[in-house]
Amino acid sequence: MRQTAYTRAVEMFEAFVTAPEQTAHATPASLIQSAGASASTGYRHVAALEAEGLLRRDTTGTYLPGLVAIRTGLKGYGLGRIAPLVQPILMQLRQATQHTAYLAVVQDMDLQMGPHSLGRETRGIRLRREYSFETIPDMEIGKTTQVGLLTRNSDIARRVSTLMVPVYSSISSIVVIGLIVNSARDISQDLTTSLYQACTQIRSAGEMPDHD
Amino acid sequence: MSQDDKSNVQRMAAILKGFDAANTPRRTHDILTELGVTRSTGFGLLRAMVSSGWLERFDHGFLRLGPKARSLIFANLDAPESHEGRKLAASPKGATQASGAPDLEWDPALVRTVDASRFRKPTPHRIGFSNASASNPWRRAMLQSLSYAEKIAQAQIAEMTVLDAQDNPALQREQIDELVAQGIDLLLISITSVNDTELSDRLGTLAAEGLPIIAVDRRPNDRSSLVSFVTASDNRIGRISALWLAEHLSGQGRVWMLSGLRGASPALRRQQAALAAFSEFPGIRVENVSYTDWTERGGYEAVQELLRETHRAPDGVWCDSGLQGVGSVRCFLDAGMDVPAHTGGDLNEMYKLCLHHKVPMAALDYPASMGARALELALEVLGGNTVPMRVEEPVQIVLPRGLETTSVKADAWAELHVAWDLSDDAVLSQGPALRGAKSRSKRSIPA
Repeated sequence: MRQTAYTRAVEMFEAFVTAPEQTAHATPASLIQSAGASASTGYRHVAALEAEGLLRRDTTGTYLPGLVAIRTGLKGYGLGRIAPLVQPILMQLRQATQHTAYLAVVQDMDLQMGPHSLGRETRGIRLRREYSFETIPDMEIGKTTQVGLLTRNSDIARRVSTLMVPVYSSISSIVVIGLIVNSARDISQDLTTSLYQACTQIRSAGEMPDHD
Repeated sequence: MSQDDKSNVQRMAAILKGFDAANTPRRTHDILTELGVTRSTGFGLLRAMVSSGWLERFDHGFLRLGPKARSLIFANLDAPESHEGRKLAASPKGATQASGAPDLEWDPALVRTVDASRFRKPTPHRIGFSNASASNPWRRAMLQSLSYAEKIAQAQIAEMTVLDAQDNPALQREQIDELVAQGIDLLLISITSVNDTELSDRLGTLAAEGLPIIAVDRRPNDRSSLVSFVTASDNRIGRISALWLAEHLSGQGRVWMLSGLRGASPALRRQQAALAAFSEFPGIRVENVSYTDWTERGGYEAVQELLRETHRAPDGVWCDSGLQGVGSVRCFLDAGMDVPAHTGGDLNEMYKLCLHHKVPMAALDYPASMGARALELALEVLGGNTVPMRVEEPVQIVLPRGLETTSVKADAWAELHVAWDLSDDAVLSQGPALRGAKSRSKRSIPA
């Protein structure tokens, strides 16, 4: 396709909003370099995207995907109304269990990993955008199950063990929340209970789309 | 030629934000009208966004968010660990399962939301902040955090007016009227007195007239006038710090409690939570509860008085903040005594003192970054989004290495959390705004 000012802008936009997920950028310069932009336009774009909420910085100044970015992603699935709930629920779940807590969308046998909060017990397990299921999972709403996830598009298949619970189902997708677990250890009752409580909270919030 | 001075990157952001929660397809015509650009620019950008998957065609003349927009859900809520090892995240100690982890403290208000579509207004906005006071380092840090957020979002804000009520409810009522007279679109408020009914009634009237109101840090008892409330979990601060102290003392010992401001709701909630946690340990004896006004002097004088009465240091001092904690630690040092275990974060000086003198400590910083979060939320409300009724900024558990207990594990190590190069009164929880203060900082060497 012929490069135009518009396609270049779209590429630049994508480079900036996806840069924080690759590695930690503690300065605008590092983010700009990672996005492959020139310094002159880079600073302007970083400032604009932060102002629009598509980028944000944590207490140490490290760039993170902004809350507007997460909301936009959820809107794309028709789940924009749960966006305000995601951060408090996942942060509390992570703080209570010290395991990585996540929300994901399941379509067919694929899982699209969503917002997540890294827990110290499983910090070493790096999450990927997409997974497939090792076996066909039980997707009963409110029922907690342990399943294996496999990374796709890789020469080496990597397995991640997770405890998950479906919280909402539509014609095209199922929303789950889960905890990354250490497959070498037994799943404690605390983890299951915490996950179930989080599921109950999301469902009782009444923010799920009407066509449940 | 485009009629605005926005970049295409900003226009893309505006297009993506324009879709509703259900991703209802929008007419191309409507998108372009809202964007306010020429047809050629608008169509050029939309074509590029469709071609790259940010948008997808739904029907003739209709677009909706596409697969690339959906992929934005993959987002880390915390920063990934740096490969240089600079990041301060604590690592697991041993192979302990979090079986003793505290129970979830679900607050139902955290998952209740408000549809703010009725407050939607075109940018730029006029926002007023009626601040209870700027009387201590934490409040100044919160204000600094808000100013930082204002700079970031300056394109969306026409005017931001901040008035300091100096802890005077009558003055705050006058200032609110002054802000309203200026034609603000939204009122941010940190209330001077939770029990002032006149103030509460005035807020109720303004809310009924359609003014969106967001409280930050302190809210009125009657929250019906508020769209949302930005805060942090005082319960968590009180409970976890007390739990740590009790476990650090192996469930045995004498404890003095130094609370903040008498009658202030955060002080009360932290104290109640701490007392409830201590009550689970029969061997812990809470000998007294003092109030310190969240000042170093208040902490110093309270401990001085108690030492005069008892002639004996306690085994632990529970402080709901380092604001008075520094006074307590300094009092023990001045008396030439070993400093007992302390709790209380917030202030850089508290970390400096405890680490320098090897005082066992646990800290949960009350996040001053809630100022910035409140302004972000204000912009979300004026953008007509669905927002939470209550927003809690995360509270980290900060411990020196080697001082974790059975059920209290560190989110960050104090040795890495402290900022030796920043001033004593720096509040480390104010977020990125802190970096702006770095160059102005006055450094000190702990006593």
